[in-house]
Amino acid sequence: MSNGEIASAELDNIIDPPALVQGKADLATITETVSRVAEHKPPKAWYIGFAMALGVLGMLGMAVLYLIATGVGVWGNNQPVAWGWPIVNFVFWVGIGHAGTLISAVLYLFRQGWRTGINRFSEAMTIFAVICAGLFPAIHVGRIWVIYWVFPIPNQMAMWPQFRSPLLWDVFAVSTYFTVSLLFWYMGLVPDLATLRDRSKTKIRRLMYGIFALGWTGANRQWHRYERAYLLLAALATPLVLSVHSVVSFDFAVSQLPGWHTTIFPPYFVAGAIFSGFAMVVTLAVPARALFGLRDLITLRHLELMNKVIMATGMLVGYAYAMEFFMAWYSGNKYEGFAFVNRAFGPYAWAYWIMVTCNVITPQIYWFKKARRSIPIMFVVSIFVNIGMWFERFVITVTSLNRDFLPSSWNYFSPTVIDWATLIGSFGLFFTLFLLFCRFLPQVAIAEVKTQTPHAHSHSAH
Amino acid sequence: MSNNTKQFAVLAEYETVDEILSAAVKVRDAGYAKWDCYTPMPVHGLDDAMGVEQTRLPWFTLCAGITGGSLGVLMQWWMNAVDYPFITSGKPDWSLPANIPIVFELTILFSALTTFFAMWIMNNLPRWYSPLSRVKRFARATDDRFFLAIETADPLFDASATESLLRETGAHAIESVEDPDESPTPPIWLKHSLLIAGTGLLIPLMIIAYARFNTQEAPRVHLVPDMDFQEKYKAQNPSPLFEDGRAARAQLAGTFAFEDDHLILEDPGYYTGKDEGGDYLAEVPIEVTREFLERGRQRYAINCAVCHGYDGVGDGTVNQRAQSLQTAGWIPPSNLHQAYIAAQPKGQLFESITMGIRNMPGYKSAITTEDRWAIVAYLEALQGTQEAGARQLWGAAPSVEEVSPSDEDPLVAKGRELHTTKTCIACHSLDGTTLVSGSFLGLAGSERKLTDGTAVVADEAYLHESIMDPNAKIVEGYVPGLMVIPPISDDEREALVAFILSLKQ
Ligand code: HEC
Repeated sequence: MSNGEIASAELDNIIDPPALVQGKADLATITETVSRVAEHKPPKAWYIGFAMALGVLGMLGMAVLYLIATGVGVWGNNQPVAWGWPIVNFVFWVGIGHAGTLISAVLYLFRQGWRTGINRFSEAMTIFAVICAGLFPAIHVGRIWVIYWVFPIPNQMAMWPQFRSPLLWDVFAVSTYFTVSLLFWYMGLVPDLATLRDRSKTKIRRLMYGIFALGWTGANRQWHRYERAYLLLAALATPLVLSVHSVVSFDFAVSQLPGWHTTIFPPYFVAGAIFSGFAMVVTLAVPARALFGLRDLITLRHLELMNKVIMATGMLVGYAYAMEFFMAWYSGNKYEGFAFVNRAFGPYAWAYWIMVTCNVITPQIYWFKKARRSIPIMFVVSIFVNIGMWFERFVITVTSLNRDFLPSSWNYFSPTVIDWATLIGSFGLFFTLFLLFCRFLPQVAIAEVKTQTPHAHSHSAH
Repeated sequence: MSNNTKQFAVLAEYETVDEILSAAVKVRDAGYAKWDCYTPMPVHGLDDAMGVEQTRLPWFTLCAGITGGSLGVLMQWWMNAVDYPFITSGKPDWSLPANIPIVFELTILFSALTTFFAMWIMNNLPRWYSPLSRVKRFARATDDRFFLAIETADPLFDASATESLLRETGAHAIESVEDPDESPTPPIWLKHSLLIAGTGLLIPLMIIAYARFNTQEAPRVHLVPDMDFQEKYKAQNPSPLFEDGRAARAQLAGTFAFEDDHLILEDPGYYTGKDEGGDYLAEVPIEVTREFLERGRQRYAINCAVCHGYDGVGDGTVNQRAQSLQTAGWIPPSNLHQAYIAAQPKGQLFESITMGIRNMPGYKSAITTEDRWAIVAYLEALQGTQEAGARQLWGAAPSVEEVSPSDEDPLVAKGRELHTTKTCIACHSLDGTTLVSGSFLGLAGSERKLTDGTAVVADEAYLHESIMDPNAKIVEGYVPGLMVIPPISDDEREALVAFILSLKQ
């Protein structure tokens, strides 16, 4: 973590007192603080949370099984709203999955030293969120046993996929994103797994951590290539993360539907993704740092910086909402105009205003430093943002579809019990994975945080 | 594991970054090659201090990116434009912009995978075992201590000299690293389970390969039946769908295939347009009121105007579209103002609408009986707006061409009449204008060029043949299969041919 890190550490000193690592932050303490969590029995809250998450995951399993055995008719999807909750949930989870790579890759390239406290955490969140996201389009295809048709695999029908379809772009974008995020995350984990391996007391732990640590010893010649690879992956992941939600937005924007067919979608979706992703990181980080004693590593300063990002992206999203209305009016296209008036004042007005309240209004509280640094406030706001961002996708998907070109087919969409079970169940999947991660893996990037301490830098002139 | 060990390296321990940096400089300057520093995190400046050369990793990434991108282009081009072209509303088979997203994703994917794996391979990882891990204190290399190890394999290595060099660097501790002759390997159970899992993964591939290159007599295995097995009627088998096993269902008592069919016997004139004797009704059998005409106008606008046009000249939007596409073999809807149509008894018009006529489909099932009569009534009014209809309506004298010269041969005169009643006139004019097909004026005796390249003279035999079998000889510029002929007796054909011959020029 060459020049950049130091430069940023110095910059940090100028702009803000360094508080990235608090307390007695020598190298051994950092190792101990993070590793302890994975080495000791977790607090009771973990067991309760895990049991609940497993239960909800079971519900997801049953809902999905029922769906596969019966058919997509068990959902509320129907004409004209053929894209109901599954797509809403997909976009919601993919959006959340953006913060991790953004924090680890983009902030890395911008040499934001503060990312080290939260990057591991949010990368894990990214991966789990993308897993949840991938579930929805997969089960939405109906006949999930032929899902391999979406990949260019030779088949008995002698057919190839339609590469000009945004839905296929999605397949490639999301699976590439998942693969690269996983590589990035795992690569970051290796040195820390080696730390856990070297600290392990039992044979089985040593073996398990040892296998995944790949025999890492921290040799400098290895660090050299490792650092280079990390930089390259960051440079690759940055355009990738921007492309993924752009491609997701093409699913809508490339269609001809009023309310979807707009060029503003890609940047608007990306901003929304960062917004929701950061909110999710705050939602998770606040209880986790309290529960696992990581307050010194995930400090108030980290949270405050994230809240600033949330406020900024929240306003970007608000700008996009306004711009959509402006374009609907300015284009003079009466169908576009209708779609938007219908959005704000039609049958789904309630959803629209929930979205505006949660996404545009609540984050404004972060103009006050007190609010940015208040744990209860930020927790509540982050939950609001999560809700608001879910509703954003709901509003985009459902309000545009439910007023079809043929007024005779206009219809009001209502979810079914299975819709609910799948949405709630996906949180079960997410939290199960996340809690397992918290329990067994280093939640904070040990080696990277160490580079942010004075101990990592030479004090003689160089 | 044998107990025989030999020295592998000397290991020195340091406590701070500054110490390891200065130690690295000293060891580098002493000229050692096989040595390394071990740190809990990447240390800035250590690469320079050790003299580590820049890695070539980025070149691998670059090559992989180029490969991924080019493969993306090639794959999409071959799959979508060559091997299985997708025809999408007239768009080109191959248009790069729509393929860019996937090219981009593949570029990233290839680069990332290559970077990741190349880095580990270049780092000689994964490795099961490192001799350094036998030293207890070395565990802190991933915690808070810094180490430097010089391997015995280094040409400059000399047990005492190397050790004293390390001592000079200010090491806090120095230890010799021993390595057994046989280095530890992964436990047997691990190897075996990996082996079994690996072979297990090959099984599906082998099954696929086997199926790919073999034919089988047994029906395919249906893991998921989809809709391949539906209950359905099969020839010579009882139908599983009904209790009585019959596939063709008998008509239920009290039901009729068409709306009014059961009434035909009661009032054939009203329901078929023909009275008991088989003659067309001359007039509409319902009292024609203003409302009735209005109803007819409306039904005509809904059902007929798309083809025949609101004004009835046959240029409705369907026709306009077909003409603009220059559809081969398009039969234009008739101009309803033609004299022979205006002269038809109302029952005949009704029959044309009900049963369809030649290429026009019937409207029996789409328009109620009463409405069909209303349309007929309206047609009369519509035709009254044009010459032929008006003459018919107000009893004026028929136009010249419809009258046969008084001295005409009776056979020719019969043919002239049949030309209208058998509706040849719908396509073949008598005055040289081209309707759907060529005019009969001057046809006889002319030379016809056929599609097979030969030419024939339209003599009597040719005319007979063309009426009996319109597709026997196809004249250039015409499409086979279009001519629909009503039943014509041999006598009638004689008369028609005589009539056509009389139009010789
Ligand atoms: C789909 C287009 C289409 C529609 C709709 C249509 N027609 Fe026709 N009609 C035709 C065509 C084509 C012909 C000429 C058929 C031929 O010569 O083979 C024709 C011929 C006729 C004729 C001439 C019959 C003759 O003796 O030569 C009458 C009368 C007629 N249509 C009446 C109607 C009426 C009344 C309606 C509305 C109920 C109607 N058509 C609807 C296409 C249409």
